[in-house]
Amino acid sequence: MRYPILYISAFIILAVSCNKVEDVPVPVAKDSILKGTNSLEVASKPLMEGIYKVNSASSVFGDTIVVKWTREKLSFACFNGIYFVMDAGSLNSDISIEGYWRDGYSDGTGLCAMTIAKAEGGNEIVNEITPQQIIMRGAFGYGDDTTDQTFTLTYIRPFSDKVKNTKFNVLAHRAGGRTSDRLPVSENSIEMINWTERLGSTGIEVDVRITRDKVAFLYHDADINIRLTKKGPLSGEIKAYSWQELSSYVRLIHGEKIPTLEEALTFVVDSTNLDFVYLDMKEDKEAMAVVIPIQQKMLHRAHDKGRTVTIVVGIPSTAVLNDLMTYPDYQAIPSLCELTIDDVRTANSIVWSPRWTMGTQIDLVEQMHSEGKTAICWTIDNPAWIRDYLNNGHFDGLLTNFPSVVTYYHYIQK
Amino acid sequence: MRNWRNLSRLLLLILLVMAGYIPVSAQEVNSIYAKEKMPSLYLLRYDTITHYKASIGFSMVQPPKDMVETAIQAPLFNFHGIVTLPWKFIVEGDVTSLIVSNQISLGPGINFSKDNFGLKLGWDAAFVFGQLKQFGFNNTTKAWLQYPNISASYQWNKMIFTLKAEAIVVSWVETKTGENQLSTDRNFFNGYSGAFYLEQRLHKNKVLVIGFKDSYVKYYWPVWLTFSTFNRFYHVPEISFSWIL
Repeated sequence: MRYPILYISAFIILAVSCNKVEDVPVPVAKDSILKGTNSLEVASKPLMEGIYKVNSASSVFGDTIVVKWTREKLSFACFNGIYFVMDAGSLNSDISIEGYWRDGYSDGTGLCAMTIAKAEGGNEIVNEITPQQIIMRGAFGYGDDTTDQTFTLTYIRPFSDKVKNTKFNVLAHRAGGRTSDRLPVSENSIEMINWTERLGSTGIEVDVRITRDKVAFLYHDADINIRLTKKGPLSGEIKAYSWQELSSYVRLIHGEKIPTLEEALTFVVDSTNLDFVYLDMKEDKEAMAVVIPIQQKMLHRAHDKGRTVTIVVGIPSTAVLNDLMTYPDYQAIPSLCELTIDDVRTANSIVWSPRWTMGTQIDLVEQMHSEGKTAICWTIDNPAWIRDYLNNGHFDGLLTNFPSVVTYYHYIQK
Repeated sequence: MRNWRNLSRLLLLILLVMAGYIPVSAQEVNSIYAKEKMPSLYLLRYDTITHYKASIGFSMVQPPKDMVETAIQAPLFNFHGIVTLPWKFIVEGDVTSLIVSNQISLGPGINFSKDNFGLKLGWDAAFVFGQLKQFGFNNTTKAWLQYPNISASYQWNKMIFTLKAEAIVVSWVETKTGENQLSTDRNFFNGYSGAFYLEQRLHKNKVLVIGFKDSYVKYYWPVWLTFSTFNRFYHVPEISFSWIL
């Protein structure tokens, strides 16, 4: 062995070259306090929504929390990216609330269990009467262990008229969350679309690619890689494969199948309350001819079901704009343009979506509003900037990786 | 019984003689190699003061997937220099560059060596700067970092093995896009790193250094352009190759 340095190096490289999925497991209570409780009536749920004061845990969750029902879950949103996903049930007019909290910016998580006693708002809520007061008493913990940190939430006020009367889009990236957010479901999957509303999302952005045999599907990266997929027999450029090949051999990082665009939009329309879908076009050659018929079909499907869902094809580059302009009557196609306002006018886009670092651009946003268009900026993640854009900007929505933070700063507005 | 005691004493005497003999002979063997004083960045055994030693090289890093996603990965180029000073003091400097991300560090240290062993204590202060025009904006970053560190080395044959540990403290960091200050923070414990270096003389005085390093950090300066908002620690494995000049 003349050069042992080479053998030792090769051994160390082999030893450290493994790959694993890093997840933050969702904590589950061993003995649920919801056992034997009854589901709350639909009319009871909104009575619990509003702004609550945090007592004795404000150093963790902030001074106030936004409490809002998101489909079947009761979600709490904090200023610092911590959110709660809770279930609730009632028994003898006491309301039990149980679930977990998670820090969206880190890996912190733990259980939470709370109660609204009959005399502290439970009775009125169960009987669908606006309560005089609501006090949630309970505790949280860290990880899967007990909930040993007591805290109380006291109802301060309902959402303001400004919030109630304004349509504001909380758009979540990658169908609701990224792989890097360490959620239990994969980005750009139907499972993520099903998950994201509990984070406060009202709409989603999805990444659209086209297979070799012209099937539109959801996937972000240009290649098949172990960041997004489980190890499998396929590698290289994902668009080089047929849908049959991808469907058979590729599984997303948490084991889900890659969804076609049509499957994803069908799920949005049929099974969620999401009302905005931004199709982020990752291909710029002959992709519109594949995607637009699916968009139109799904818009009709939503209409037939009595739902108002906005589905826009994205225009992130001049090449995609040129692709759109090859489509017959392209100005009638609902689109979202990330380019200049002149490009918005050229495509007759219904949404202008500038990069957030361009600033609040109030004059241009107002110009778009005066032309009957919506303005949504992308992709804003820093809590301080989210607060500033909501307080000082005039955008109609924000695309973000942290929808719970946007939810907090939107609903806290007076 | 007496014979048994005599036998025990004899065995003890033999063991003591052998115990004394083994280290003496190991010292003799090691001193042969020690006399060679193989060029090294970590085991400094120079008789003269103000001795200068430097290396150039590159390292391949696997940045956290959470941060870089599909970003292009490129090698970090590195220049490292050491100057020995009187009373076992040293000054160590380092320049590491990814073109759009750069770090210059400089710091004092103290070095102890005896025969084939070496121990080095140091404290490096580093300035990070980077710039890239992207989406029409001039993105910039600046940061000050502190690296208190300790390393221990041992020469075996024509190889030197070194273990190095360092703590990483961010004194100040700022990232801007145009005039927008994206993030700023100061005085936080950023993590630590452990490294294992192998130095081997390949031909004449040409020494190859291969390093394996794992940094466990929140802020990883080479990938500042990803504008990560995560507040969690990541392992960043790194393999480096350098030549001592």
